[in-house]
Order: sequence, then C-alpha cells, then structure tokens
Amino acid sequence: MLTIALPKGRVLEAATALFREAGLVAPESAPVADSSTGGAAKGGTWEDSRRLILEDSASGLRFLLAKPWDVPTYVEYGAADLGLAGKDVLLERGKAVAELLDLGIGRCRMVCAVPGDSGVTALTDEMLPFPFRVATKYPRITRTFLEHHGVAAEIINLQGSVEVAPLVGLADGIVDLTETGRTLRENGLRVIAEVLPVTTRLIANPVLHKAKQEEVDRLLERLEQVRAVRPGPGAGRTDLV
Amino acid sequence: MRSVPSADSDSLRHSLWDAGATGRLQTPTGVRDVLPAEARARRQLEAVIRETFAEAGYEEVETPICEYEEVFAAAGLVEDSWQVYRFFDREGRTLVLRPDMTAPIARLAATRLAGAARPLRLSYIGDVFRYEEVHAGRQRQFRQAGVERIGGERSVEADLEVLALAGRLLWRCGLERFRIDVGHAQLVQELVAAGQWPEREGKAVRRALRERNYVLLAELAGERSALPVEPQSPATSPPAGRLPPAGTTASLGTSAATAATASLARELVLELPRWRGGFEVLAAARARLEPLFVQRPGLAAALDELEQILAGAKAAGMQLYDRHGDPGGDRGGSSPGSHAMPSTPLVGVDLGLVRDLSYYTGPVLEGFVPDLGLVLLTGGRYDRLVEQLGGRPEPATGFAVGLERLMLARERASASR
Repeated sequence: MLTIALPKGRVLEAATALFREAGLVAPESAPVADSSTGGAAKGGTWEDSRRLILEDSASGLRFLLAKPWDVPTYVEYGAADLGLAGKDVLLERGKAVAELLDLGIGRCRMVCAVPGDSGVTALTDEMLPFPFRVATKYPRITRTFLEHHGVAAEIINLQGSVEVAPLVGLADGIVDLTETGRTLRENGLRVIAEVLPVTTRLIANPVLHKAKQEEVDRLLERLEQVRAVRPGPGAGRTDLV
Repeated sequence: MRSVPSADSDSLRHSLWDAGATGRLQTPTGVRDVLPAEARARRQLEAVIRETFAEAGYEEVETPICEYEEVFAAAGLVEDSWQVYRFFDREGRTLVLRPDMTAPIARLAATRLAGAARPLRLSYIGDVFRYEEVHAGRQRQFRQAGVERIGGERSVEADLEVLALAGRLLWRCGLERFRIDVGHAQLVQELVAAGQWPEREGKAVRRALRERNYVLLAELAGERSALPVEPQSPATSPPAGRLPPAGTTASLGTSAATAATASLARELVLELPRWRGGFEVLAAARARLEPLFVQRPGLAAALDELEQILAGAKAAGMQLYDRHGDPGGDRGGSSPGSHAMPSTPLVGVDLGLVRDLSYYTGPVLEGFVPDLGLVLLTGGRYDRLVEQLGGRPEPATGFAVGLERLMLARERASASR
C-alpha cells in the first residue's frame, strides 16, 4: 500500500482528475469538486469531505489530504511515501525528497512585479528603490533570486494577499505566483522579472521510493502516460536555488 | 535560518508567561541532553558496536572534536552546500567542528599513523556537527560509529570486508530487515563526463542524481542544444582502433561520433536510477553501456567491480535482492511479515546512488530499513583523500552508521514485532 499526500486547495481538483484518468482512483470513490458550482458538487467531494485520509480499495492507494506547504514534510519523514507539491513549495522548503515526475498541472509562474505607475520596468532599472522592499510568501527563493541579480532587498514575509502590499505602501514590489496575470492587473501591478516557472511535482521519500520500487514504478508509469505535458518557457530553470 | 532577535523573544516570553518571570534555560537549537534511560540504551548499543568492530579486528581511535579548516576543505566538506560550525583560535586560524569522521581519520593516517603497518583497521564512535536545519531524525550534533580500512592493496576484498561488517553490525544491533545498496562513484563520474555537458550543467547533473531530482535530470539530459558540435580536445576525439581520415571531413566525422556518444551517455544518465537489483540488472546495464567502453574504460572497470562485489557478497552468505527488491530465487513463497526473516542483509546494486560527499572514488554504500524512510548507514571507497591530506597515495574504504537513527530504527522494529 502506498500513501500519497495530496495538497488541498488550488491543485487538488486537477490532481484528482489526473489520478482518475490514470485509472488509479475509482471514479465513484472520488468525485471531483466542480468549481463552477463553488465546490459544492453532487455526491460529496474530496474538497468537501472533512475526512483527511481516504482509501481507494481498488488501486490500493491511501490519500492523505494536507496543506500544500506541509506535503514535503510528510514525505521527508516517511509519513507518506509520495506526495504532490508545487516547485515553489519544494524550493522554498528545501526538504530532502526525491522529485520523480513533473505532472504538468498547477502550472503558473513566479514573478517579480511592481506598481505600473512606478516607472520601473526591470530589475536593472536605476529607478528601482534602494533597498528594494519586496513582499512575498517565498522569502528564501526571493532572497536567492534578488542576490543573484545583485539587487539589495528588504524582504517582507507575508502569508497571503501579497498583491496588496505595494498598494498600501508596505512594499515597493512583490514576488508571487501568477496564473493568468489577472490579479496582478487588477491591482495595477506590472511584471518586471520572471523568477521561476512552477508546476506540480510527484515527490517521494528517497528511501521508501527504493523500498517500494515496484509499486512506485507502476504508479509512475501510469501517471507518465496521462500527465499534462507542455514544457513551458525556460523549463531548464528550476535549478535556481 | 535567521534567529529571532533576543528582544523579541524576551517580550514573547513575557506575553506567554508572567512578565518578569524567569524562563527556563533551554539548550541551543540542534543540540540536546541525553537523559538516563536513553544514555543507558545508547551505552548498551555502543557496547555491541565496539564488540562487533573489535571482533573484526578494527581498533578504536579518537580524534579531536575540532580540526583546522584545511582538513575538511581537502575532503570537500566546507563547500557552501556543507554547513559547518566555524570559529577562530586566538592566532586567527579557522577551526571547524568536525562534520564527518572520515576526514580526521584520513588525516591521522596521513600524519601520526603514516608509519604504522597497513592496512590500518580503525574504528570510532563520536559526535559530528552540521549546521543545517534540524530534520528527520537528525539534530545538528549527532553521533556516528564507523570503521575505516586504509592502505594495503586496492582490492575488492577490502570493499567486501567493509560491506560484510556493515551487514553484521546492523544485524547485531537487532535489525532484521534491512537493505544495503551498492553504487559506484566512478561509474557516475565517467558517465556524466561522457555526456559532455558544459561544466555548470555537469555539476547540476551530479547534484540532480544526488538529490534524486529526476525532473531536473530529465531536463538536463534532454537539452540537445547543449550537445558538443566539435571535439573538445584531441585526447577525446579519435575512437581507438580507427585512424581519423585527413582533411576537414575528419573533424566533421569525429565530432559526429563524439556527439553520438554524448547523446547516448545523456540517455543513459537518465536510466541510471532505474538500475537497481542483482546480477541481472548489472548485465542489463552492461549491455546498454557497452558502446561507451572504448572511450570510457572506467565504466567497464566499475561494472566489473560491482559484479565482483555481488559475487563476493553472495559467496559470503548475503542475500541478493532482485529488481523487485525481493530476495532473489526464493520469491513468491515468502510473504512479508512471515517469521522466516532473513538473518543477513539484502544486498543489491543501485547504479544511480550518489552520496553527498565528494571524496568517494569507487564503490559506495547506503543501508536502510525498508519501513523507515531514513538512511542509516553510508560509506564507500575514497582512494585519494589520504594523499590530499598530505599522506602517500593509498586506497581506503569505510562506513559510518548514525546512532540516533539506528536507535529509532530499533524502536520501530521492536514496536512492530
């Protein structure tokens, strides 16, 4: 039996769909939340369910629903054999886990953005404030990225709603994820640098991966067939940190 | 990680408890007290370890808790990926709290024991210090027990001696189900070199293998654009046994051959982590790697060594596991959890195994209990370290086991029994 830690939230729906398509989850055992109905879909969904551990008897998989930021921790300690985590979380957390597969879901970009009316258009712009005050949920990645570009920065660590920080004078800019760019636009922010393309990865505890090699390989093979392959621009850049 | 300024933690303490109350003193992050029950269990375990090492003819040594930085720099342990405790003595020399026991013992072999009879068989039990985030069964100060076999002939017998001792140690410590994987540092190095990545990417490939980041590995292996279009140096160009034709077509032909080799090597780097198991896996790997043997004879030599190690392990009564991770041969009859536990380790090759220490030059070991997601034992051959520390060139091999993790594994094993 394999235990897989799944991230609740943004990516869960796509992840469930992927596992169903791969024939790893019986359709009736895991109906997917329909986002058009605000998550309140018929038949009770994983998203709605308050249970945090779900088993699929047919495939012999056990799913553990966790906060996205906690998935690498479960896997590192071996509480879960495998997990699904975004590249952003993996780099920020820096846990010792094996990265097996890019699932191609949860695709977005991590960018550095500033208010459109600031006149700043690039990190090399001499109008860039000194030090550059950046609000982010990703202090580790942001520090490494800005150091690499020789920008003196003051990093302001926020837990969410990062886009608001420049509007209220808390920060000069932000480093955050964007999927469509809509939230950035609505808050009058302009992207001045690409930090990192982000997708969801299948991760494994390095030892349990070896110990349960055959089961993991079977799963891997099926997921490989159905994963959403579409290499994004700058796909070699994930070695940033 | 950044520490919280003390003023903040003072006011935090005041808010959580009565203002002005004296908080209890704690130990710094990453170090801890050992209370009587654990101290007793640890002493018993260490007695078993000392006895096992002594029976095998390994004599215990102790080295100081800190060394001059040069010792660990020679071993590649103070690069930025290694976080060590550094401080200065009053003459301004940099001292490092030992992050590893092998480098100090190699230093010992290169200096005070330079004249002692070879092979040296030395054992140790001691604390090591790494300034890294506290994670998964490991504090910043942790205890290692291990052996080093230094000098004498460079032989597979030495590797086997150490492998067998590693297996016996885990068994004597009460672990019944464990596996020891054997990889080869030279195999990985040669194959990555054959891939002819530019230097920076080559490093990234090695790092991706070490961290088991197969997504990054696939990205690096797939970058066709970075393939060499011209022979890099005369030494690598003409394949043996064939004279290069004259003229411009010569360099074209050779570069095409080199590019083909590099392209194949990149494909094979990607396959490395999948090659785990016994003889059949080695044979499959050999068939795939064969086209590279002419240019990279080290590959063949590494495979030969691994085969000899497997054969020797089998002859010594160890069980080999197959590519399913099961004991070879008697598969099917035994159900997991049955009382017929193997009393010897399961041994197999893991060609994608890369240890996080750069001083390894030959076979490397990694031991673990399948149910526990932690590596308990690591080791391998390091034939250049003694020389790098000012001694004569001499072969050396050894292993270390992490005591805290070993105790954790014992607890889990007895809990599930």
